Amino acid sequence: MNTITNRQMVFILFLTLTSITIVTIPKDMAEAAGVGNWIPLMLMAVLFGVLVTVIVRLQKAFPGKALYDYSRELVGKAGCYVISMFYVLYFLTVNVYLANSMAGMLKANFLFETPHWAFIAVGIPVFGYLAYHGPATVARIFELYGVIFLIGMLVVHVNMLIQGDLVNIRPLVVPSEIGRALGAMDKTIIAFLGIEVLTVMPFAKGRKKAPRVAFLTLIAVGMIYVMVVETSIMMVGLHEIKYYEYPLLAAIRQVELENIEFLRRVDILYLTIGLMGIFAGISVVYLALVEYAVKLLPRASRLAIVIAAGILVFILGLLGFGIPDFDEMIVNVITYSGLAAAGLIPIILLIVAKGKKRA
Amino acid sequence: MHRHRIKISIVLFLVMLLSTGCWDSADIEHKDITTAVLIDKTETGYAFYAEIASLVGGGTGESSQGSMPRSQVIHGGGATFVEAREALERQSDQRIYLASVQNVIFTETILYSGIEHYLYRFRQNPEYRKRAMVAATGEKPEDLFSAASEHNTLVGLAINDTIESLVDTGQLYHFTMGDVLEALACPCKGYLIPRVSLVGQDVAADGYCVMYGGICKGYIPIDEGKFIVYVQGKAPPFHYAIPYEENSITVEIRLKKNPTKVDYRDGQIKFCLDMVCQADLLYMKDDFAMDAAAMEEIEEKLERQLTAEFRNIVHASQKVYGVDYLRFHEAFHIHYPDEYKQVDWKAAYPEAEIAVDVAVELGGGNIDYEPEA
Repeated sequence: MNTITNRQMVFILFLTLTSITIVTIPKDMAEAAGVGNWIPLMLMAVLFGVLVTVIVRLQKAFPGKALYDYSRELVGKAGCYVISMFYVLYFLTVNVYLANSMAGMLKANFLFETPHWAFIAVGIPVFGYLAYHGPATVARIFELYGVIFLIGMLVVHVNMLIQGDLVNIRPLVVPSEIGRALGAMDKTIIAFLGIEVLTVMPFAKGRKKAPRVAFLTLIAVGMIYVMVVETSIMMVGLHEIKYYEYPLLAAIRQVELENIEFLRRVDILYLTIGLMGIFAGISVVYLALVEYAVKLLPRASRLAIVIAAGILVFILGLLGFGIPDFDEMIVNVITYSGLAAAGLIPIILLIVAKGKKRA
Repeated sequence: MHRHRIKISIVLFLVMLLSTGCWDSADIEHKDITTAVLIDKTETGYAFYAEIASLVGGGTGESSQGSMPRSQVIHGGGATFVEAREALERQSDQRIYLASVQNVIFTETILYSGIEHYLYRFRQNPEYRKRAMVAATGEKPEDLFSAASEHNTLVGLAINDTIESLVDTGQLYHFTMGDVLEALACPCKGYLIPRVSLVGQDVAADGYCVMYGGICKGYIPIDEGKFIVYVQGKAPPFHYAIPYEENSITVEIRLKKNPTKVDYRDGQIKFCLDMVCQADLLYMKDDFAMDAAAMEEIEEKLERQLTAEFRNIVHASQKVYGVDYLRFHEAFHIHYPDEYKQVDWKAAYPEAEIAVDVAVELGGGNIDYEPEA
């Protein structure tokens, strides 16, 4: 059966949302919202929690189908084509951004001599292999990945909580800074984008609890972000954290698990488990890109599309490295187009479906 | 079957590719494993000293004695840090590997002239571990390293062990390069760098260098700075001798720091350093009769004496150095976050009123002293 279970949905959302943002978000939030960083994060978690329930309700209303299939019924062939083209371009952009960010992070922190293109070249066959096997296979792998990633993450962050300085995150609320915290909400959007990958994950019939589970997953992801940001600030300091492009890694490098000899270098633990999470996140976006492309090009073989997507991501990724301020530019594009992909389009489709009494 | 073989071949190829470490792959023998870095200010600029651990000689057991040296020291100097580093690289036969640095040592000369620029350099270098411990020294670098060489030990590890053992006994507190960077980024924060010197041929901690920004403001001998560790709030129990009548009574003290009370009115900042102290009698002269009245008297005396000790610490921080290395600004920030942004802490801190409140509860420990018949 090519559908996903509630548990698989939880891990898909968890791994997709947290993949690369988790490494950079402490700096953005500390700069934009200071000690009140948890306010915009939790508010955005609620907002995206509502959006994810919209997507899940749509998927539930059309069991066994992806957005491409039911949008054809709801808005016609032309509308479906436009929407699918938008998603293809969107997921391609996100893929390039994630692949470049992963390469940038690895080069800046672990493998200084290795060129950017080598990271992407090694990654693409892995992403492609997963994407080739379709949503159900990816979902099953994510169940395993997700548990390992979650345990590794909890071990690291609980230790950061113990070893960090609580003073750095106090006071938790500064009344005069609530406006500043709310103003930082736009910085958190990118952290919650990723829920739109569910549009390629068909749901089985039934699954009554799916919308509630999806909503609670987003709240949990929000809490994980708060934990990551707060523990990073506890380790590095609110003033110091802004100097690091990858603050989570800077914070992790200050943690030492003294009683576990083989885990004394916690950053190495992150290099394995954290990287696995990033690979998983990129893989599912790659899968989404392939799924839409396969539907748009029914005559092309899936393997050819997987390979073509890989070549495209590789070339665009290389071009991206040559463009100054590429990251900033692409983040802006993804933020706004992501709101359409994760919010606007599913909401419109749900309204149409309601009108047609399908949801 | 054929497809399966192709799949396995692809997976094996990927695993091989991933496990090579790509362009960064290097044998450990082709790296200079650096255990300590010392930074000095010279007449012409700066000098770096790097202690390189030997991979073939040394060892840790008795067998290491008399064998090849455990380390070699290379150094390079130049008008700037860049030139000094380049000179150091020229001295090195392999690529210098900095992720193994256990200790960053600053000479007093550079501490008084300023380490801010070096700290920026350190922060941006991802190879360094920010957990590396930090130390200051008044010794000449050559003397420090030659003493280690004579003992066939590593200076970085020797300093770390010395500091760690003092941290365990409550005489110093743990301070890393990450902590230095954090303090540097906060305009209100002063900090203390443990200072080590040579006693004979051995490394010993002898005090703290008081730092503000990247500049050293003075030196606190370790005896005078003993109670600083307790103001920081995390310290194990310690022994304290108090004269009473003809006796010297030794007690074991467990100090607990309560949250510092803060008050801010009409531009005047007031703190109350609130310490609760559990003291247990350890030993005294055998012919001394301990009764309730004596206990109460000792308790009061202990209270007065500990209060005086803490007042001296606070006084030195406020009036002698004018640097808030006792972290009072953190309590002020938590209670008055808006006012904190307006206050020039460097100017306000020496003028703040800081009261010390020490409450002592004396217990008999697990010994029962009765006067000899």
